[in-house]
Amino acid sequence: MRITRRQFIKFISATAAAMGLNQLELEKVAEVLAKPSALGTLPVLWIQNQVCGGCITAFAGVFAGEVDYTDINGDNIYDTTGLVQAKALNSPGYTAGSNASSSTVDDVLLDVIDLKFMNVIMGPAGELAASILDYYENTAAGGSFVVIIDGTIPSEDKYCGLGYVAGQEIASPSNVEAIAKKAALVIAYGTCASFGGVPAAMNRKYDAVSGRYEGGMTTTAAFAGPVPDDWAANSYNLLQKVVRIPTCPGHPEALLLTVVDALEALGSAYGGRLPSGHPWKPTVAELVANIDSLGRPKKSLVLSKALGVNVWLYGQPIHLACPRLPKYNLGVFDRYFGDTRQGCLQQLGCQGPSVYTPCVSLKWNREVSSNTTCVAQGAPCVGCGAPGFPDRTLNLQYK
Amino acid sequence: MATYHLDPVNRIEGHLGVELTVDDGTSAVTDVRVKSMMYRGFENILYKRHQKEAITIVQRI
Repeated sequence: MRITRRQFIKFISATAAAMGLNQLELEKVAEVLAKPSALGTLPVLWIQNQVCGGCITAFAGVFAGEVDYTDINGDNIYDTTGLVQAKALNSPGYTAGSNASSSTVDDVLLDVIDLKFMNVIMGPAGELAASILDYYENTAAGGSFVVIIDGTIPSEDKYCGLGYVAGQEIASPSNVEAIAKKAALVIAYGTCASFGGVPAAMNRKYDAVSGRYEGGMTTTAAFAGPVPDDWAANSYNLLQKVVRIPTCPGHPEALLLTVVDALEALGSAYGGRLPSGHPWKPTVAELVANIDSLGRPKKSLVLSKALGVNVWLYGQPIHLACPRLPKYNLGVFDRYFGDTRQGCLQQLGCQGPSVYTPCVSLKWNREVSSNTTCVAQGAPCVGCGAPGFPDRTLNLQYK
Repeated sequence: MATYHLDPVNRIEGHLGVELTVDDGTSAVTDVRVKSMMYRGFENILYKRHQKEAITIVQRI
């Protein structure tokens, strides 16, 4: 998957419009960040564990209908019979779903990110695909790539298989852990990867967490949960932290803006485009300080520096930016679902004051209006981006 | 008898795999298993919950 300059400018301009900011300023940011990098890009592996597919749908929706399937020669990777042409996996420029190198360099800016592996959009299947994971686990140099982990991490390999290479199964968590421990950055995308989410919810039938087979299992040994912090505690990881992008699904703009921050802070060797000393350039210390105790980025550093305002990601509760906050201040509260007064939803169980997500500050689906959030539509916030979702937040709502 | 795996199957959401058993002599496929490689257990998660919680949980299948 390759993201063109036009797509990136479109995306970042929509972000500006959604926030009511000066669009010209933001396009300037996009122009700088979208410059082609002579150094190429950092490969990104998107690994799915116990997922529902919502995160990928949300992320792929950013560039929906604009995925490019041409290879290095400009040919479509699908031949006339619809079969995938076998590609040398580790040849220069190979990426999942397309080729990173382009015959039209002018019009393509590559790579804010360069996806090597992603189940849903990649071209190869079977061993051809699984051997990408095998390559990054066993052959690739440590610290030469980024891993985005999607979905809850199961307790044992038998709950989540990722593929077969030479008759050997690649499975989560053991192989995923080995890959993550070689990565320069480990990003947990979505509530499941960040905090456990629905697959790690309380299983009242067996008085244990879920994510396991029914018969013959001990109740507590089988545990499904978030990406463990120690996956990032190694010599290759540049932050020594798992960066978490919660909400269900993960917020795609928050992911992209966080990746941009990280690449710019880590420098040109990692695909950063701002020259050293540039006023927008975040330092690694700022990057680490921007990540809170739960691993969430508080704000977008590059955008905040470029625009002079705080572009909040996970540093502000959605209540403070809620479109219904004026009604709260006036003491107008909805008493039932669909109340035409469109007041504050607090009495219907809204979790807004305690949930730190970019839902309201960045909106969803790149819409300019504020209607693309749950609270604007009259649905109280269920806290899908909070630790403890769904058990803690739903218990508060429906007790 | 040789066993071949087509796993993962791309362009599908979830973890799908196909296991083929091929007869060495005739090259005929003698057995095919289509496998879902991932388990979460939504039935157990929903057990004894308030019905309104199902609205929020089941939409995440």
